[in-house]
Amino acid sequence: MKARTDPLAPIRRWSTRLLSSAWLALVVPVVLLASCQGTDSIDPYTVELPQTKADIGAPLTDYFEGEGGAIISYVNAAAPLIDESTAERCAGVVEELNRLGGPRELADLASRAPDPATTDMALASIAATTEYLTECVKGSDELPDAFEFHLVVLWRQIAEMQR
Amino acid sequence: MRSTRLIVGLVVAGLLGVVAISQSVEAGDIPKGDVSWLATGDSYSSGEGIAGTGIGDDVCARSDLAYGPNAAGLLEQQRGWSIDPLVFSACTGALASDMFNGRTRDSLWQQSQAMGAPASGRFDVITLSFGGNDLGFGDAINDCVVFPDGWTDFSGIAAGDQCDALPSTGDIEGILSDPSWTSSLHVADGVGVGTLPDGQPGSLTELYEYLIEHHLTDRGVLVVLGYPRILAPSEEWGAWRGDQCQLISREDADAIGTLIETLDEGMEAALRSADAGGGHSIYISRLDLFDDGGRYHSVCSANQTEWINGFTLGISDGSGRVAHSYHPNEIGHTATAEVLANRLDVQLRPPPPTTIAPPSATTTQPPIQGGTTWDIGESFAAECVVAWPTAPVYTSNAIQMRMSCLGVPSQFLFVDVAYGDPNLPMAPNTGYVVVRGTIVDIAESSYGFRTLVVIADDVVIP
Repeated sequence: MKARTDPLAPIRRWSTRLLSSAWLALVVPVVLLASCQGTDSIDPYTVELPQTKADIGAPLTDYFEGEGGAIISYVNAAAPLIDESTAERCAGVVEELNRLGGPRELADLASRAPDPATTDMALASIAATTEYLTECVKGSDELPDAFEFHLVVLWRQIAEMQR
Repeated sequence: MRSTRLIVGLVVAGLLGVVAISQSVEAGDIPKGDVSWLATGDSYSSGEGIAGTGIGDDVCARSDLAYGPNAAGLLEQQRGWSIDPLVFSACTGALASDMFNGRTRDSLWQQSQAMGAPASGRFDVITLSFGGNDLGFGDAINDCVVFPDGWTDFSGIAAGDQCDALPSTGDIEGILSDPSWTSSLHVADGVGVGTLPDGQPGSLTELYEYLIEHHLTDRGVLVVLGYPRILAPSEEWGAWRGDQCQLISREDADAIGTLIETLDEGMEAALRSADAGGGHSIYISRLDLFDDGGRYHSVCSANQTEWINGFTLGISDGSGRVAHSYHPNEIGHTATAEVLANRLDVQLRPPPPTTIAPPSATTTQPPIQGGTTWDIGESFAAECVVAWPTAPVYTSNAIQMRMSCLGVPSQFLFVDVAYGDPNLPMAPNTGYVVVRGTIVDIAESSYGFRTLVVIADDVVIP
């Protein structure tokens, strides 16, 4: 079992302020039940996040409260797969993600984040999620390390904005 | 300590202030007459990475903010140069052979003529970058990055899986020095063109030779700009990136970096060989500039301002150009333009009258040794020249100068010098002076440039 910090507090604050109740309904169980998978050597729940420059913090918060909200919705939609990754569940997530737009649309939104690190976190996560979903809807039940790693790092970065 | 900081603050404020002030330039410190300038090359010269390029009829993805026209504008506006004509023919995707042998459209030279090149075909300044496309760097890196259209379109391609088409060191040696080496893109286009006019074979070295011999004026200079490191070395990446950055794996990023180091070294040697000591060439290493002494401004750098775009789909600026990815952005071009302008200002400045600076005076100076660590509190001693685009600022009790100094590491673009004698007779044609003093601070601009701040005890004019 990997040691992990509790990311719930910032997520709760963020959720209360920004998100619908669906965020809590989905994310809280995910956090509580999330498996301990990850990359071989780095724990996404504890890895040190990059320092956000002082002049980027406010624009980044504005971004996530505006057009970048779709990135939060993406995390919200994909996060449950860490807990349960059946083909049916994956197909449902694909439907949900399609309503947000395709990977390219979300990648473009990510590229507009005022902070290159956040952009790269989102790009990496979107690519890893697509790779995972491609296999999952075909019936693979293997949860790739990269999917969880990049999603959790992005999720923590978003939460960090509310600290 | 507090008083020192206050002085430094005033010095920096004064120097920054003067940058924005139109300079009063005396006759004799700028090139005589109009300076003709050809700004050509590939996407790293056209401005492909600058937002807004490549839209509509802009098939060459040209931007006036690219380093060539940017530097020309700065020299005109703040240094008093008269640049005419300024021919900007750089074009994204250009091979070295496109200079004289266009594949699908007019060659860059033909385009240059249509844009008003001098009838003589000779320029005072030619700036360019070629070689990246010949080596297939763009396609190779694009192969490293595959981004899906749909959520189930990944096709089993993971970051790095496709990154197997990088050029070899043999390819780099080929384009630099083997006239018979042919880009794979020539083969792909079914056109066996050469680098020299009329399709004659030639390496980059021979292209440089040809340009120096046939297309420079007597005072002319060929400025070749190298390619920057695209991704910071993976050891610089934060652990939060996992095994990839910008969809490129650690292994592939480092392999690309090693190739760019090889290319940079080879391009500089090729230009040196082509010029053969003739004094008609300048090599500007964007590898060194963007590496900034280990404070990498590449993509994936750790908490530094990035001077290169990361992966982008180009939707934000309406271009729809993935090609904007991994190209210098506006800040990268601005940084390049400032260095280019500074180098040209020194290169094309007429020699000072001998009555002011006897040639023997400089040769009798003792060898100059810089500090060893270049840190605050270290002593400083170097030969320095007032740097473009600033001019000395005089207060009631001091002279403040932004200077370029020999031997100072490249991560410090300038040295801000304050000297307690406002009557120091600095003139535009003074040339190099000896500065001795103490490094009291290291300033950083919002672009990420660093500047040594020196309080001088002694300034010796030869």
